[in-house]
Amino acid sequence: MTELRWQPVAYRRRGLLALLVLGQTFLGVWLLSHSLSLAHEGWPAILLVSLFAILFTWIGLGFWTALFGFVMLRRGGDPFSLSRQLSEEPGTQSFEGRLALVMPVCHEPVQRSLGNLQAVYKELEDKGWRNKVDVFVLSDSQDPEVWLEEQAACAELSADMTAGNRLFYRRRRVNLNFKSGNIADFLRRWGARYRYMVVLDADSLLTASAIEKLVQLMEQRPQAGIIQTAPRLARAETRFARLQQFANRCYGRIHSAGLAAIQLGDANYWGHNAIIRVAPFMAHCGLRRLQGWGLFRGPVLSHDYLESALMGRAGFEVWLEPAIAGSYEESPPTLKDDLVRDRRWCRGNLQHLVPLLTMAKLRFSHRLALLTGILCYLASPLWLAFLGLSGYLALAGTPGSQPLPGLIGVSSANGSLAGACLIGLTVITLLGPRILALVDQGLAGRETLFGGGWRMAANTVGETLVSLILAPIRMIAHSGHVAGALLNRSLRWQGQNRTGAGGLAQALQHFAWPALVCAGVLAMIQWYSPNLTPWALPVTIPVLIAPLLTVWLSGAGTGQRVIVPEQVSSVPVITRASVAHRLGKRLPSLSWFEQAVLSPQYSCWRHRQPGPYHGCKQRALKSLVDRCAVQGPGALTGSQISLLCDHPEAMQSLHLKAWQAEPDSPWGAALARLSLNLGPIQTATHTHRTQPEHSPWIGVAS
Amino acid sequence: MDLTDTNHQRALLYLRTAKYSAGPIAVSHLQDAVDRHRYEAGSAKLSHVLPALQRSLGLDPDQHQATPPKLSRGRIGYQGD
Repeated sequence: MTELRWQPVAYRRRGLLALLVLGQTFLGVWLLSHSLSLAHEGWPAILLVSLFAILFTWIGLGFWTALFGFVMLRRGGDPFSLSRQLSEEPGTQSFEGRLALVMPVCHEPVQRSLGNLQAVYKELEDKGWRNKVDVFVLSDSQDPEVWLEEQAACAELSADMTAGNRLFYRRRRVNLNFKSGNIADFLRRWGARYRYMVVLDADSLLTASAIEKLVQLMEQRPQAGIIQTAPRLARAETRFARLQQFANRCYGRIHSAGLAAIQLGDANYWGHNAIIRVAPFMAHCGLRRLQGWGLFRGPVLSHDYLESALMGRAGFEVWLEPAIAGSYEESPPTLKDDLVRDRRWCRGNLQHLVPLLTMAKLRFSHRLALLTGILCYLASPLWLAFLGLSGYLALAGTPGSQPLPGLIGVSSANGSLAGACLIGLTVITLLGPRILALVDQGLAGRETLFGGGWRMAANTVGETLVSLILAPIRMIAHSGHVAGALLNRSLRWQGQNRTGAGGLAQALQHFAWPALVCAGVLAMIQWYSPNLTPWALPVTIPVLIAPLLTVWLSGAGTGQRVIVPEQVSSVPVITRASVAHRLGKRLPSLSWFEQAVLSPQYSCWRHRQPGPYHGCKQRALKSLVDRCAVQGPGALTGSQISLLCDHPEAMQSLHLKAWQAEPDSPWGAALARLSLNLGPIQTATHTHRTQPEHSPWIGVAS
Repeated sequence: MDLTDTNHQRALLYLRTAKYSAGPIAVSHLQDAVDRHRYEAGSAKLSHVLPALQRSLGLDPDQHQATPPKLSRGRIGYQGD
């Protein structure tokens, strides 16, 4: 096997990147200092320049990373990437053993997420993966209506599996340490049985070729601990999601290529659409609860970056391989959902401050990755502070001076030139990656995938305009997220909306406060200094119209006119996921719990579960059964229903009582509904005769 | 069993419900059980009929005993701190 000497290359590239970013920042700071008028001196001006330096470094990092990616792609790909180096390795052997395909879920849309899973393993089966795949659905859902549906869907999926592959469903009763705890729980129980696991998110899609390539790279490179693919966005149905998808597909290419080129074997794990070498992951990547205060106490919310840092510290490599095609995920369908997700990520990333400062022997590149993760969200309050300070300087300066002194307010010929240069530099830094991406797509002959060159350019302009309008909204929202996180305001994971549902009322509810605050600030500016009002409008107007904008962006309509590659040439795994039929047989007009109680089939698989119970637990369950039998499902809370469903004997008892209920009781009414909607008695059954009578699926009890 | 009896109606509904999701062999057993109670156990109560019906579902020869994945009991290394 060829020895990959990627470290010296990585050091050289990172050194060059640092030089370019810092050089640009020095230039920007110099231009700003020269464009500030003499009236702007003292600590506010120093603070302004300091903030500018941080923020300019931040956007410069994005620009130069994109440029690295552009250069790499123009060179035909990175010669030091894992896939390029190992593709020349001779004698690749086929993978022996079983692969774990792991999908943690928590209150996700069941049909959509398990439909995705079905599409992935069907792809594998079609590609000849026989007797090699164990699929694990690891549920942290607590709502019985959700997890009973998950169970029913998994039962059907399992019955549908062929070729010796298996599907297991496990639900944790206690969601200890959230997603990382869920994966750790899986690893403790079954991890030692597998050499590799492929982690999927609820919205993940991976083609069989992508999984094969990941396994092959792992086999060829024993030092690789994690190989991360760069997921493309897919299945966008709303305007917002489609614009995100377009941006991801059009500009994401050079960004991920640049990131991979700079990080090489010190890349990061993104939490899904990746393959993990299980043994070192189990040995080195356990995450303890944080022992600090406030936000910095409790379970780690954002685990992936830390896990890759720990893997790196243990001497294993983490690779980002954007060249592996066939890896997809979905975008949040609306702006509101995007910001809700950001709120969660913001808390998780800010928590990284503790390991960043306290964990020993982490690789420098992984420390930088943790820092950039923090800056992702901290940048927003810094921008807000920069704008506020700029306004303050304008108010405190000479009469008639403008805000954003470095960029706009100029008083001398030298200052005018420096200000103009700074504006030019900022515009290039911000828009440069988009232009580079367009050039790259054109040179690669990929513009047809976006509906042609002109259409791609027009859509880029449209997407850029929407991004510019959304930028102040994101800035205000992220600033609120950071403040909320630092104040440790509680946050509850309720699953992600992946379907785009939501209306004006929801949008108003979400954006009412930011809009009101913005209106207040605008009124104050107009009152104190009307000449500043025009400069405040670009920031305040988007926030004021955020509810309407959200509703418009969550519509479908014109979004489909933004052409993306998957629209031009269909991808089988996406098509399969999109046309997946409804999983889990559901009796008409019954809730999942009512079905679990009334269905003879549910009663049947309950017999196979263990669990005798005694003493006070038995009395408690009996009391729940009696109450539910008399007063119906509405008399129990979600957790009580879950408790009942976890005890076969209690459910058996409730099953018999419900079927014998009086016609005017809640269960009698449910049976009447069922009778009405079930249709006439038929001699033929609805079940496919080719399907096993009772599938060997496993409802693994907690 | 009286054909206008609620018990019989419930038993038939039970059969229809089972037919909705059960396989053909299970339904065949279930049909036999309902017929048996209909013609032989005229005064049977639902509390006796339902368990018998359930037992007939449980007699399904195609029924597999589910085997959970074998536990391997691994350890997670907490070397992060």
